[in-house]
Amino acid sequence: MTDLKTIPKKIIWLASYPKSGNTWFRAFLTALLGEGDLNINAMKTDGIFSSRRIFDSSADLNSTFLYDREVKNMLPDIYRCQARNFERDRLFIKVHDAYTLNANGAPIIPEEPSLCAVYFIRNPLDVACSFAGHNGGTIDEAIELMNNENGYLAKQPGNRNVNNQFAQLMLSWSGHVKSWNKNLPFPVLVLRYEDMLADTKAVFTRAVLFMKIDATEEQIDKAIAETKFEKLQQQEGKTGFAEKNRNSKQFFRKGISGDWVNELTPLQVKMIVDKHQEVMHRYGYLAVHAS
Amino acid sequence: MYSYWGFGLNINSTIEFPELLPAVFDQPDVHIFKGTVPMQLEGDNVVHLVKVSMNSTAYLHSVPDVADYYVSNGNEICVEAKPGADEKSIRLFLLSNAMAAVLHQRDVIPLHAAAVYHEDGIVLFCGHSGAGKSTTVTALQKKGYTVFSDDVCVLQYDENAELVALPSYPMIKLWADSFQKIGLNAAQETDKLRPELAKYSRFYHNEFDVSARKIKQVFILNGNAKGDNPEIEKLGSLAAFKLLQQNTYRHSQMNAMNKRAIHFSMISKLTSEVAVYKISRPGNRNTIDELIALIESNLPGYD
Repeated sequence: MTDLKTIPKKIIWLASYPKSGNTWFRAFLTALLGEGDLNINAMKTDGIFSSRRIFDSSADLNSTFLYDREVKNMLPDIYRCQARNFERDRLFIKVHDAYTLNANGAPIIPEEPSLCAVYFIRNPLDVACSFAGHNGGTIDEAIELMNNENGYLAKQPGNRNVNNQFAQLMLSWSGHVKSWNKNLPFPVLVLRYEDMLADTKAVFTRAVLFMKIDATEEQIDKAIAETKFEKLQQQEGKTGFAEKNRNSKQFFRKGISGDWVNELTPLQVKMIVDKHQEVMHRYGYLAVHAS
Repeated sequence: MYSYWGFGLNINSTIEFPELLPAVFDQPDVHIFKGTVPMQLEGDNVVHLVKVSMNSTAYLHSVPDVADYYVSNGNEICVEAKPGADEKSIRLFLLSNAMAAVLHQRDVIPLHAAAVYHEDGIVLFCGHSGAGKSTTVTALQKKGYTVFSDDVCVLQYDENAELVALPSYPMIKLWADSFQKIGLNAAQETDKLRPELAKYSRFYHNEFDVSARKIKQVFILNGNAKGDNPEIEKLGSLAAFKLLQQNTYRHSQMNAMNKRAIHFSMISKLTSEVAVYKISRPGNRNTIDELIALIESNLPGYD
């Protein structure tokens, strides 16, 4: 790769553990940037970090021939190349990988093209319920993955390596949050899903200012109105949603906070709280639990 | 020096390639040798991507911990192996990338397709990696069909300006679980494509024929559909054109080397001449028997 100093800082990472508001925010961005009707199957954001298509096009390779560590070693260069070759001044890229180092000792998220990141966090008690629905699995399976220090998303059975997305190392739920919130070489804005629900306009306006997007109050209001949860749910009901896991009934499931009270057993709550209390406390989720 | 036939070309090589078909000829089209590759390609017309740079006559590709490859003028591949690299990996990336660059430099189009013989021609199975091309042709081979090519078919015009296809080389690449799906014995460790990859090679040198063939029909495979069962749909020529042009082999090369016009003209001719079907199958269960039944009942000449 050529001179690192010439790489434009234009990537805004939309980072989160799954089921934490990332897609809702991307729908909002699509409505805001597009100024038109929202089509949930044609989001205006620029793909996912783990995309095989982006990788193969940028490296002129068939990545199904690569080992996972080789893919992770090349990912920083893939996104330096994306930033250099795209003409637009901002790229919004969703990422569920934790912020980790590859086998070369380099962060998989490269510093040079990174403008900033928005990190979405949600009460893990609610994440467990939503994640189980997303995977078409049980809540216990979701908790097992969230508590696994070496948890992967989209890892294929039998060492196959052909899916649209590479396996994504997420660590545990706490590990994921910590990895994205420890003195990264670019600014990170943390948005709590619960705050996004409680005061959508204030939180989304803060995010728009953080990302330095020019938008009027009227445009923000319009984009929020277009991406109300019920509207997204309605659209999924009518046209389906390409990002839905084939094992789940629907992607936009409930979109509320605190519903874990009705879905989790006391033992399941204990398994999550015991494992993640430090991070839950830091982001104000233990107080909710105690009440 | 070894002499082979592959991708429609006579190849001289200082490296042994068990994958290719041994051949005898007077003049080689391509020479493969070990040497020192240039540090970088320069010039306004050079496109730089990740660890690969190219223009229409030169291609420089680096595969970390494996090898650097320099392809020039459609007739030379220089290989500089990395310390400790295994020979299988060095050969795999040469056959999949450097050879594609040779073809593009020669104005020949590699299509991402496997094929079997049918009647007096061949039937193509296109699709992205993982769509099920190799599994499909291997399952058909088990039913008595003869495999024409796996993964890549080379398109070109013959002396009568007819569009024909040439095979690549006599090796099928299969994931470990495909052997079980098709009902074959488990693969051997020695057949691995790379030491740590769960994908295996199956040679078919004895059945391999180097003659160009007319394409009788095309199936485009989608291996990750949302439905519960395999479904087939005949495409109009415009829809067929759109889908087929997404099945270019190494489309970054096609774009950076300015070969889009040649590719489009060939795909356009193909879709105007033969029927193109799209087959969607779910990726969450073994549907190979249903898939084969669906294909056979839609082959030309089926009653």
